[in-house]
Amino acid sequence: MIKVDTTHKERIAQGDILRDIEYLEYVREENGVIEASKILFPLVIVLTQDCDLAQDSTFRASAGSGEKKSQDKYLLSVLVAPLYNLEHVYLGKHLSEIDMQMQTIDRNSTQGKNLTQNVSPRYHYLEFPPEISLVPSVIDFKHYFSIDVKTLNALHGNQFVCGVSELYREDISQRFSSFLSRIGLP
Amino acid sequence: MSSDSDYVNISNKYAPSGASSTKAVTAVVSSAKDNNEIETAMVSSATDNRKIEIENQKYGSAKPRRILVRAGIIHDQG
Repeated sequence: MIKVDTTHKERIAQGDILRDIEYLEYVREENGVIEASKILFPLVIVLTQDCDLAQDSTFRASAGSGEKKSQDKYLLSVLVAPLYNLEHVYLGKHLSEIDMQMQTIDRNSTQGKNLTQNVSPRYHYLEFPPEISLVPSVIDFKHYFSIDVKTLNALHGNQFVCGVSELYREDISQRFSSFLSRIGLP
Repeated sequence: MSSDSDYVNISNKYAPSGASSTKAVTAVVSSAKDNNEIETAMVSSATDNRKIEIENQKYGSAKPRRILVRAGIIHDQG
């Protein structure tokens, strides 16, 4: 079980869990009609390094004053990953609403146990304390996207759920970066 | 409990030790439709006074869904 902090902070922090975040899939224009497709994710977790988020916030707050005249520390976007319901993941149905069938995982199999013990490199299992009203969830490290910093800052106030505490968020970050940098040997 | 829930998530709930068979205990359930809500439900003790026998229901929460937005462009012919 992880530890979380429900205190809402002024800025976005690594490990923050936010609800109802949209991912823009595409925008097309054809014959004068614009079509935009978005995916609404019920929950996402912030993966961007916390020091980068802190510097971004500090420099934006004091823009133009003193040593902070440049935008050198500004971020363009924040990296997030969706949280999926563990039970839906077992069934391979967590993306059924967007017409994606995922592999099923037998909870009693080695694969299922590896998932909840965070042995499987692709997934990160999160079990929240009882006082946090979130179901057991899974991050799939193959799924991540970025959100414009200003947009996320605007949403942060209303859509903040909780923040994963330091040691646990760093574990997520380390496992995510390890998965991204894996080398597929022949 | 939300009436429109598809599923409910009932975590381990144990009646107080020594509770009579008729004593009601409180179970905490999370709404299937909303990841963030916790609501309470009264559950009567089952055959075992010390334990409420509710096995895992399907844990529920919203799934990602797609939203399409279409808008026409008004061309200025002037």
